[in-house]
Amino acid sequence: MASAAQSRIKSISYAKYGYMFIAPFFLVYCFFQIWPLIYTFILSFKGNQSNNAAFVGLDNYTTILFGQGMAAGAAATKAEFLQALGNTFILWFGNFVPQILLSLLLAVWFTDAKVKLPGKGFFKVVMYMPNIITAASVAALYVNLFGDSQYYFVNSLLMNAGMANPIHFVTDPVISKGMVMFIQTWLWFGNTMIMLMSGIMGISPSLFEAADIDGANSSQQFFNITLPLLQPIMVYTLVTSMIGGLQMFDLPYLYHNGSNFSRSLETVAVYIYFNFNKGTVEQANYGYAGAASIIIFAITAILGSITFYMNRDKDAIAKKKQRKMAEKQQKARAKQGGGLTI
Amino acid sequence: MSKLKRTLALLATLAVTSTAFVACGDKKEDSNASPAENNNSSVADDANAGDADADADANADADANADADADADADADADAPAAVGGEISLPDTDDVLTIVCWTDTDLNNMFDIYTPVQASEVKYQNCGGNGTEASTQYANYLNSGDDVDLFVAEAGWILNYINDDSMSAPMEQLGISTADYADAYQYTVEIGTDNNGVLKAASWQAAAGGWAYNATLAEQYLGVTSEDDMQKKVSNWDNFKATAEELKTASDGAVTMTVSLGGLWQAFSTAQNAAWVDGTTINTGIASDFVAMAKEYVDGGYIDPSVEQWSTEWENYGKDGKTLGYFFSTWCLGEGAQLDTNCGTEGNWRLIQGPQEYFWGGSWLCVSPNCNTATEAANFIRTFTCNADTMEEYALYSGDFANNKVAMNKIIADGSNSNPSLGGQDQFAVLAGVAEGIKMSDSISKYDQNLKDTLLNTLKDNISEDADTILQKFTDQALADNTDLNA
Repeated sequence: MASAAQSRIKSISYAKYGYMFIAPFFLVYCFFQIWPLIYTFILSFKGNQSNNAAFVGLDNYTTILFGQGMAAGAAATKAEFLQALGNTFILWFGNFVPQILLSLLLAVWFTDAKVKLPGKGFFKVVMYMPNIITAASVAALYVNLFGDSQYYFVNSLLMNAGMANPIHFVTDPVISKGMVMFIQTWLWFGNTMIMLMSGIMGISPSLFEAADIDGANSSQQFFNITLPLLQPIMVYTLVTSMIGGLQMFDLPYLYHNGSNFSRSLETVAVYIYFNFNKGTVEQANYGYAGAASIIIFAITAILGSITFYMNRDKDAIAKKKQRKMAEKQQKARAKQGGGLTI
Repeated sequence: MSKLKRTLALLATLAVTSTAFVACGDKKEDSNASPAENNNSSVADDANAGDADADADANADADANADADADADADADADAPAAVGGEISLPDTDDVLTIVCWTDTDLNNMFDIYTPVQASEVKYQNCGGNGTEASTQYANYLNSGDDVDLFVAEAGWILNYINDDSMSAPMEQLGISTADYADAYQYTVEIGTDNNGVLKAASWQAAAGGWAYNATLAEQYLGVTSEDDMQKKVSNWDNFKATAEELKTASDGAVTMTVSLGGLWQAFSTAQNAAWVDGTTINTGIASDFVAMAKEYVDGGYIDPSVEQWSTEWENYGKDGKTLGYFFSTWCLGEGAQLDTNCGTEGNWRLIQGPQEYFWGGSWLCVSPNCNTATEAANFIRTFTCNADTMEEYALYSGDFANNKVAMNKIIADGSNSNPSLGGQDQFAVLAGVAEGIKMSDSISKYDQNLKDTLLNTLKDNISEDADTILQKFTDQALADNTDLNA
């Protein structure tokens, strides 16, 4: 039997000190994260420019999604937003696909025991390097290399080689998108490669050895061992890249000359920025910016859920189902036996 | 023991929480600590060692402002402009006068003149950018709570600031009234007055503009040797276009008439004499006329539309002799300004009135409601916007057309100004007539900057489209940007 002292010790809870220690984080989190989040929702139901205090219901949403709202430019606003949304997907897709293919190829080469690549460490560092540079510097670098006229490096090189007119790398709607995709790929493939490498190295080497002994060639090993077992990491990469891609702001925004921002690079994040960051409060469209933020949040949430649903571990789910079924049957059998197990 | 632990935990918690909120501070007194200032602000040296005393006196006498003025001035040089006029009701609690600007060319010139007479430290904070970008940077800076006493606002967006009492304070609070601007160009006072008739801003310049051309190229391709002959060749828009065609043929397309659409727009829009926005309706007539004109010039090959106004490339056109001329306003003509950087100081450029008398922007000094160096601020404003002697000095020193008729007429009469980039020509004599005629106050609206940017960008991006498409794209973008407006 426990003594009085022992039971007292059991009843002492140290939980409150724990709460105390985590309190600062939650306080700051609420103030800087939760409240702005809620406030974005509130703003998305309020008006724009001089009408910014009024509650306008779903007007901002109907305007930017369907072109039906109070403002005279509702149709134009919808067109701009949808173009921005389109640009976002194009830019994301255009940098994600080459990036994942390149990273996968390099990751497999770098981890393959048979390919004895000299200077692996050096290549890893060099390939990861672009990721360390800030997007601002990268944009400045590329804008200065690929400027539109003969005064910039690449065009002056091409024109000296005999080209008649400079290529508009920065302002042409198609070429500039291609440039941004290329820069994004260049920036991020090193990071993705490191992630995939860690995934591949997590696969037990005995599987590869066994496959070797069974006579599987490299492509069979890749498609039947590496890829299936790499799936969790791939899903992680896909989801993080998608979230990052839908919020893509820095490069599309910075990749332009002077003050003439090219609309063909306007992503949703840039759209949001342009609408709230326009001089004084009376000039800004907080309502549109808020609504666009909420829409992009919803899209991210939906796409994220779909990805997770499609990539869930089907074997585990099937097993769980089986186990549940077995439990049910057992219970049913127990009931039939009048609750007596013999 | 456990009490000690609890206390420690509590202290640690408090420390973490309070440091997390440290950046929320709303007023930073010591703006010197801000790292951003290292590269883009300049601190004018203190005038004399007695400054500290002057400030101490000024602080002690904060209530009796007249005394504070006297003390501050007593320690400054003898020829300091006396702070006369009305009573100053803003506080005098800081010893650094901070002026927020978006370009530092003018302020550097002003500081050179102001340094000998200043009573406390004067510095500027350059927010950078131009147009809408500058206005946005300002809003961010002014809302950040960092020290600001005065700020410089441009014609394109000043109305957003002077009509907002949380952004600007009446000049009256510095003891300055409309009566102090009897010799100023009247339009600057009208624009500096807000919707309620309160004087909120004062300008040091009358932003008259002319057309600067390369005399060497003019002689080579057009056979023109004097300014009068050149003026005849570009005296109106028809002549301007005919000369552009002549130049194109003579130079085989190697030299354009002018560079970007921006300058053309300024000269053109002045002639419209109408506001961009009438009530809440966009005046698309202005845009459609300009689109037609721009198409004509671009299709004719008189202008290269891909060049960004103010860019390095835009400068190179002048330096490399690839353009005959630029539309330059007064603030382009000073030392270190565009004339200097685009055209060099070899002196083979000349200024004439060009096809259209026009004016371009102009800057106003506004008072922040948080101004806490009132005496110095009032002195600064008076020195560069009211005092004919110092404004004459400033005009001669900087090449900027000062906003004071007495000073400017004296310079022109004395013949005391000569601009080396213009081969010794006096640009003020050319611009004086234009400055008299500026009637800008009826034709500016708070949407100007945004609409102008939108029009020029739309034109640049879609110049190969037909005029109707360009106009439609402009209207769409303008309406999408400004929910207050309709077409």
